[in-house]
Amino acid sequence: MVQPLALPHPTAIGGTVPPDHDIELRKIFKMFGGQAAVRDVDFQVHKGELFSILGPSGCGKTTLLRMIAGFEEPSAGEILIGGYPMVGVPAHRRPVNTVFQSYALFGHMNVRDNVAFGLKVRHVPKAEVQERVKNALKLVRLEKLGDRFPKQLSGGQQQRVALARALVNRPRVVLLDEPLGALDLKLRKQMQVELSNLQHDLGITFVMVTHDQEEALSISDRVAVMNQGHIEQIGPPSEIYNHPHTPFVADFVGDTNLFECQILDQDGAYLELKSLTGLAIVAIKPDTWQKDTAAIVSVRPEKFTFLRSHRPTLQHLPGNGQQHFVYGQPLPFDC
Amino acid sequence: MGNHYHLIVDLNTGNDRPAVRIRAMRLQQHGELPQFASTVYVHWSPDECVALVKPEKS
Repeated sequence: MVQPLALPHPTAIGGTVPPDHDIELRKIFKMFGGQAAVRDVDFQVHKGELFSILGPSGCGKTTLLRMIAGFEEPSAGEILIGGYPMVGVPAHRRPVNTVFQSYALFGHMNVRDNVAFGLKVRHVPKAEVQERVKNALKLVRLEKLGDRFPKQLSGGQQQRVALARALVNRPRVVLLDEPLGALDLKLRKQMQVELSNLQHDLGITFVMVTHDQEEALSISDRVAVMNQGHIEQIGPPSEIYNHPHTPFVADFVGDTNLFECQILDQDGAYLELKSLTGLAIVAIKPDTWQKDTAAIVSVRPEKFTFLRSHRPTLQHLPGNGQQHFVYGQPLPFDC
Repeated sequence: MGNHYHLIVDLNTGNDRPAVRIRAMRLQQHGELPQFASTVYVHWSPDECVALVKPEKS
């Protein structure tokens, strides 16, 4: 009989205050053939949070999720769920459920049986299985499609079955590996809203892996941006977008203009710089600045303003418009 | 509420260097198509410039 790990309340075994986070990663490393796929990763995921791990293909984000799920063991470091170490705890004993990009539904089972599968394996009483499956399908608005088979469903409906199958087990944490990656753009936008509403209504902790920065920024409470196996920045979406800590984060998240600069002087909270292309720039001094002589300046496209006439102020330059794009169509200037 | 549109502008730094190309974005108000002269004056505030120090490779 397979039972997921039932975590005792921490106060019951030591009188300690229960942690305010569901997941904690401490100095996690994962090596594959001498190469570090994940290196020195530390973070906590708060209870009831929608936390996204965002990064390009091959950055190690799925490996990180698989270590939390128990499908991979870290080469070094500790993973705690609910304050308890997970080293050596197999996937099926962890209080988490994973939703995969491919949904991994059983094609020969109808929707109801797909959702009930985990409960039946754990020998949950039949009446309870029926009640929980009914509630899970209601949550994802599929209560009328219980008799259908996966091939009779749209991509969005299959994704909702996969979600119901995870939620029916009442996990402490739901792990989502590119859950909307197989959907077309319109459906993906719709499902982003549904996923976010469901997570907030249920209050369950969600950890989602995605390479889609717009998806991560639009529905997450916090985002961890990952690059080459390492977390470059963790924060709320607005902080990640407006105050990136590294050139990679500035460039990967949203659109930006990056100028390689020499630092000429400093004045209070600002640096005076000269770009290699000849622009004189004054920029906010980064927290990490330690008398460095070079920096990269990021200016988001929407931060530029346009005036009809010249004013003798700092960072005010004449320019020649080349093209503008409306609805993706390039148009000439003087239109 | 309008749509966003993108502009490609070459900034003249005034020191015999090649122009510096930037990508800008604006909000299209009231559904009107933007009207531009080919010469525009571009301003950006120091508070909108974020200086980033390259992280050391480990």
